[in-house]
Amino acid sequence: MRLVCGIWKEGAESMEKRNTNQTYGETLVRLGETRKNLVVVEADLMKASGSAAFVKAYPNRQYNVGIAEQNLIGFSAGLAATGKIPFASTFACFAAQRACDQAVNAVAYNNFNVKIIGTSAGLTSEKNGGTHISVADLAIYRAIPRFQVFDPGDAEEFAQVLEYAADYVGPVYIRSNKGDFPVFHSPDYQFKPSVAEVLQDGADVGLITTGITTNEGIQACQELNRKGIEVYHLHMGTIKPFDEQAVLDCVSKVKKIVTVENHSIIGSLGSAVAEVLAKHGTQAKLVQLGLRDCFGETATLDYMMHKHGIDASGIIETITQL
Amino acid sequence: MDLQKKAAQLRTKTFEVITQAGGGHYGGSLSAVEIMTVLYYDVMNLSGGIAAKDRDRFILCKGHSGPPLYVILADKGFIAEERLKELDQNGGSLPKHVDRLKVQGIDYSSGSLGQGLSVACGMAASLKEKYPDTRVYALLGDGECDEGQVWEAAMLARQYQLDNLIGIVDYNQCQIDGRTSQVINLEPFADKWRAFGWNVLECDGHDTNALQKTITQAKLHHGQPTIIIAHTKKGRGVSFMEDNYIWHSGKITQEQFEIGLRDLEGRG
Repeated sequence: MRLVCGIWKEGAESMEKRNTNQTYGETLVRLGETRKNLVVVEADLMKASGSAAFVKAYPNRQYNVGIAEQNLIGFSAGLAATGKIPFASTFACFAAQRACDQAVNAVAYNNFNVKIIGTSAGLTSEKNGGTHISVADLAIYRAIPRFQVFDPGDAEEFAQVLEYAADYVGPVYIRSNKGDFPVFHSPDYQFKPSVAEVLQDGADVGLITTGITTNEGIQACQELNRKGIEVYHLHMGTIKPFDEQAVLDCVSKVKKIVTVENHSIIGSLGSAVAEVLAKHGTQAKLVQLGLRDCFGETATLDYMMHKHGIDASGIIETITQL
Repeated sequence: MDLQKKAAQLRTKTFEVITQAGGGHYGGSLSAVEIMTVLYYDVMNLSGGIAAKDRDRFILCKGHSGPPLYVILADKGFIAEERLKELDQNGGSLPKHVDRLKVQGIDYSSGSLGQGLSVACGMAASLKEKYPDTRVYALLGDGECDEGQVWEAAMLARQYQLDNLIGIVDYNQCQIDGRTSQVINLEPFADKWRAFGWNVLECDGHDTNALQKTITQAKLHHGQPTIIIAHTKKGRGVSFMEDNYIWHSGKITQEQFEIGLRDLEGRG
């Protein structure tokens, strides 16, 4: 077994943790220095997104539309139409569901340069519970033409995705996962859109993860390594455009694949992998881990990740039973 | 220019273009002709061309009323007259609902009702910083004001004191399923806008002089966005369509087309 990308420090426990919301604010402040048209649009969730630092640095470059997510996205479309680069954020559940038609029509159909940040994504909404846990945001945005869709694995990747989005001209949806998470990317890491990262080579089973499940996958791989199970681990920070070749490369080595996502198993990472396998007539067993057509609940992240089998122990259990 | 006469010509052309397309949204297209005529032939600053950053913007929130706008854009030379034949046609370049990516001169692709005013707010907020004299005009349908997002935008426009935003409601009092008073009553409509903090003006939406004066008055108002409630008739000018909600959209026979043309020529 060999490490293809030297991107994580030795031992999961030694990884530095960084806060996603803090990263959002700090990154926007940095990006806003040279990009004078970059503005922030909020819907009364400025504290939850982390954009307060940007507002403090550039008080005249923030708009707050109040608790009105449809208006958040429509208003942002108008800003973009006149040359601004709006970063509009709200909880991922509202960004995808409440403002879905606005994302489709006001942004994507018009091809306006709006960046939508879905905060407290998936189970990271934790105790806000089932109404606030977005189980379908990636599926929804993935199905909207012209949108690029990202679920970064850690704060380093998140910051670089934000920078990419600021300079890419077109609609973008980015998940922001609330909390402090280990940073597995090294400081010299360079984000490449729609290019999956091979975190570990292996010949027994393929593991494809995205967002916060990649850290769980890394931990699982360490334990599985000790058990002598060789895992080909792929991190998919970009959900659309999807890196088909990376899946084909994976399946050229293994015939059993496990996908893991902080999302419904319908319509996002696992579905995208299934589509690639079917499209190319590739024979492989696919096990999709995620929320199995159900809602979240009022609980901690650890509890729910364990319950849905998307934490390290769940991944280990699934892979060892394959 | 005699704007009333110009509007009459554009109305006839709009009626012909929709009919040639095999039918369409006659009602709300014919009710909005004078409003668009006054905007495009008198009020709006388009002197620097479409590419000018400081030009006025027009958001047709009620995107199904595209035909008169297309007719105006063709008349003004923004698009080729020949393209009017492509309205609603397979593979054609003029979609039923206005499309900015296909038609030069369209500022916003609409169709999903209730969203245009939010977009207009974003444009107005952004333009106000650099181009204080630039105005954003948003033409809303009255039935469209059933949509909650209109009122989200209304609150925002007041909060940000978007006095460079002028909304015009084509108040023809008809929507697809009936008269607005019977489906969802908008009244007291002017009071609603006042309660949301807007400067409210009203006028006859088919009288070009009244529209000119009212929009001029709106442009002089500071500190608040202005809404102009333009009282109109759905299907204006065509005897069997006028003020009849069933003509929100539809197809007509050759005989009806000839009746309509006679009506319009008689009025023009």
